[in-house]
Amino acid sequence: MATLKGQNLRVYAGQSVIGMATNCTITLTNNTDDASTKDDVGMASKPITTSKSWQVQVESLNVSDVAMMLTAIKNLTPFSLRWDEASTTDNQTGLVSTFARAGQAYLTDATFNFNDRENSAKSLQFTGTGAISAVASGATTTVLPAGSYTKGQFVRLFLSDDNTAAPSKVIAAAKTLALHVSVTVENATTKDTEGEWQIQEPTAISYDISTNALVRSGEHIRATVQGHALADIENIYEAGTPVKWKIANVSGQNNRTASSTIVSGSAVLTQLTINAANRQNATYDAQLTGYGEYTVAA
Amino acid sequence: MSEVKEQPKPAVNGTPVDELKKNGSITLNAPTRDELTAQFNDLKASAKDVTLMTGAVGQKDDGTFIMQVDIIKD
Repeated sequence: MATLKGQNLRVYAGQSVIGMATNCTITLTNNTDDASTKDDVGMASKPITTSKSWQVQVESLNVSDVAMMLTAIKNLTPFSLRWDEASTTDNQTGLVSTFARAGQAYLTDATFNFNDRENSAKSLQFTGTGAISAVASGATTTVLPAGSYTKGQFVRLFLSDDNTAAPSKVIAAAKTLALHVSVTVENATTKDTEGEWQIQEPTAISYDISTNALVRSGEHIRATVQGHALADIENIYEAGTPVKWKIANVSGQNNRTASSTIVSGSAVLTQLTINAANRQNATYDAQLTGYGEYTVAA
Repeated sequence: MSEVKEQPKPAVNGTPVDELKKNGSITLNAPTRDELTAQFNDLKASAKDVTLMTGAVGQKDDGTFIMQVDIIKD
């Protein structure tokens, strides 16, 4: 008897496998109430299941669909999710195994990492709403074509100096960039709800952008595109007001020429941390918290 | 009387932009990052009545570059 390998347990959105995945976790929870009373002798609790809920997490190296993911979050569109055993011939085609289950879920947490000289990655967390059920026989799966990899230095964060100018200045000497979007869901299960499964409804969206960069005393670059150095970031911090931002694909001199915008918006610089460890390059971490809705348009 | 030649319709990867607009998304493919950007700029210039959304540019194992573009009718 062979043990199922992780690469042969896949998560599917609709009829497509979530491509280039590196990990997935499926969590099924029986939510319990302690039913122990004074009538029970001893100290132990007596958990009784009162509802059921589920979550799915997927990590992937595919960031070509960032726009689609961000749009689905913004539109609060639930995903049809399922997990299944995948064929060993392509690790993608679902076999409709006995443990395969499917249901509706909201994408409630998404992080997209674009780090210098690393393959970019995304981490997705889905929260189920309603029941999961066994997958009907005969379900088919679209086998995806070979994927592509995005080196983090080719996706960069641009900021303005204030909330009136366009975000045209790149974060100079940046090392990392992460966009994190979170959807708050509330348990909307009521007495009208049949069965044990919790119903979730989204109620709020929040997002933040974080970046780490080297502290440089001056720029020695060929590009004409200006950069924000630590002093500029400190000015933004002191102003304490929103600035415009965009995350864009870049190319050209010093990887500073924006070719197409992936997502943009306004944000407040909520935390600035300057790191000066002995015998290490000084760096700073800037965290921006989204101000109003983001825009997904190139 | 001079002959009037029909102007070729703007195309991306050989597919007329009008056809692309009917699709939900397309994937641009080019041998270099600059050529991919040029393709995207052509598409953006031709597609006036739609919103374009792009993901991160990726590089495939064969060295070519791809960009997923989602097309939303305004």
